[in-house]
Amino acid sequence: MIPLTHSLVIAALLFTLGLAVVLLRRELLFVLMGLELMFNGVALTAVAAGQHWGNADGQVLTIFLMAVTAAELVVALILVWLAFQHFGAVRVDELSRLREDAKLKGNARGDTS
Amino acid sequence: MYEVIFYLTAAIAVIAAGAIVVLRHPVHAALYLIVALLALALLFFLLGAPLVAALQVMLYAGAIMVLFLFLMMVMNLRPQPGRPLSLPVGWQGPALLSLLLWLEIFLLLGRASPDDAGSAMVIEPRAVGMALFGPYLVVVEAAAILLLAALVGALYLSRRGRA
Repeated sequence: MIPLTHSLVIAALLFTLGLAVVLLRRELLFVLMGLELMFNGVALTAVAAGQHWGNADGQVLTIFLMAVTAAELVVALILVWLAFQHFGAVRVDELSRLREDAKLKGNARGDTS
Repeated sequence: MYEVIFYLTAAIAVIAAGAIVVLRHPVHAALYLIVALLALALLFFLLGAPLVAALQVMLYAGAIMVLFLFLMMVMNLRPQPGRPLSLPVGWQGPALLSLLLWLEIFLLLGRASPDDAGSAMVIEPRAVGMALFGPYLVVVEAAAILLLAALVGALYLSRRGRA
């Protein structure tokens, strides 16, 4: 039997690594992958705690977490694709324009094409 | 034996997650992320949550990572433009970790009795389903509405991008 603390330590490690990916890697896709890692660390926490107390609630929480992650990721991936298509942005730092600027650039591109 | 497999799987998950921090190419990182998700699925199974383990393989490693890889193929990212994609160099690490995972599953399935696996308590999918559609029914409806909203948002954003 694995003590609960060990599972929690593993989950915390996974969460920290996901946070490190989000903070250190500034590519948009890597940020999303780091988010996935953090979600999975949380899911491991929920499942381990649920198993420790013999309760199905941890697994229920994990299933809802998966649904939320899927919904988040679909929209986020389309936003990444739009950012790449309109601005050619792959990194987070390239998305620093305000809205007016972006509109101007979009209009200019529309005029030239 | 059970503890060894558990900690080995946890080490695989952490190593694969750590590799994402240092890798350059997004496809390699996606491969390591798939390995990490599969290792987590095995961890869930070892903890005694078979339903979540199956859902983890199907939803995360199956569906969500396919979305990731599809977007990477569409974006056609390269470290430097003009250089050919040096994909065949990075497959050894994920392959080795996956082989370790496969061997662990082989060991687990090779054991005679299921309760010999050492897990103290297995919460069956039946109990999870009863909880899901009993006290948590409202949350299931909310999740359905959330998925519908995500569907509408994805459709709207993709149409707007095309126009």
